[in-house]
Amino acid sequence: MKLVAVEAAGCGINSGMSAATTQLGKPGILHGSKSLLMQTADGQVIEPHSISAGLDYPGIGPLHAHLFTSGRGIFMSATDEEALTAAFEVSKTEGIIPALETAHAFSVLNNMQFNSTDVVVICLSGRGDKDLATYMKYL
Amino acid sequence: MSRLQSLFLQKNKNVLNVYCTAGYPHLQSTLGVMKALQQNGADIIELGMPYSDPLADGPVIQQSNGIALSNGITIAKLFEQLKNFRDQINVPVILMGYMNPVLQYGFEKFCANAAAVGVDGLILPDLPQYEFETAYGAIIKKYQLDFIFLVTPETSEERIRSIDTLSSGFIYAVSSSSTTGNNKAIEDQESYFKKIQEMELKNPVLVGFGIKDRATFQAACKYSNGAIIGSAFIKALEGKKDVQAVTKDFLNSILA
Repeated sequence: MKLVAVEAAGCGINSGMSAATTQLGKPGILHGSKSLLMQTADGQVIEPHSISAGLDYPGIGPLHAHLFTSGRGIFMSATDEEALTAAFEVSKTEGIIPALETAHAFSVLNNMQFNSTDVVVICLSGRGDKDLATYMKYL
Repeated sequence: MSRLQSLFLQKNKNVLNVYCTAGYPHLQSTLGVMKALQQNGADIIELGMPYSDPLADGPVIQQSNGIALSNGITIAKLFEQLKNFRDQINVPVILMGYMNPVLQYGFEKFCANAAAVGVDGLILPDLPQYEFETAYGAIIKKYQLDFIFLVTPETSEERIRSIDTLSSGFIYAVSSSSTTGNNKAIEDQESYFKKIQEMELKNPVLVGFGIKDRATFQAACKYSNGAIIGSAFIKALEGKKDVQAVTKDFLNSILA
């Protein structure tokens, strides 16, 4: 089984407005966890950016950091714009309004190669009701 | 014997520990504030190392951390400022901060430099007991630095006892389940303070969080060896040029 994680690239990984922690972070301690953390050389935490509130965080959980550093997971990222596009597509084609966090996961499907026998499970981690105000801005 | 130990041998009531943020209100005011604190009756100086995410601190100290960081303070610069501070300051000095900047600086290098300039102890609220025992405590002890743990009204008696065996210098009794600079009444926590007092711990106990004036200082001292003032002093220093005068007035309002 392959594990694929999708991080929030925000306006782009190197835009200065991103939350792609595995790409931009190094080991550090925040909120009681030692994990990967976006920070300056002096250990001050860098303000992240993502259109999704749940991903707008300068770190990731230690479990995810372990999946990344051990190579067990494949880590990809999606920008704000890619997440919005995917959210609208899933809403229109499936009648499911995904949360913005989940929309990041949907957005990488087009960039992946699958065999016809592959079974793909997506963790639709949240409903988009909470994100309607954001979605309506971009409709 | 550490400076903290000898202080508490000489004085075990009404010990006043004052917190100030390094590099605040101005980058170069650290030493001036420390000197003024000593001259005007502070028994211990707790020097805060600014952090972008100071999780135990309320808005006042958070803001001072932000100002100090934009003033350009770093741990490396702080050690430069502290290089010869023992020529002028003889009260115990404790560095207080959070794990991440220390970790990025290098934990052992940090302890070595702290000891070399004459710092006496450390408060790192996000270094828990388990990590202290399994990883960092040995390094702190190697450089003969005291380590001050925090206890709160939620800490069990069993854990307070084990923290007492690991601590040296003193134990920091957080007055309520809150951040620094809160407005909770000290008197409401009477049973908690009494519980700690009756446990007869080997370490002295200083009460902090919400101690802001003479009345709260005295209330806290009733059940402990002394108290710690932070936010109220930081507020007094805000935007001030003459840190000597502000510090003198502030400490007079507490002690005189």
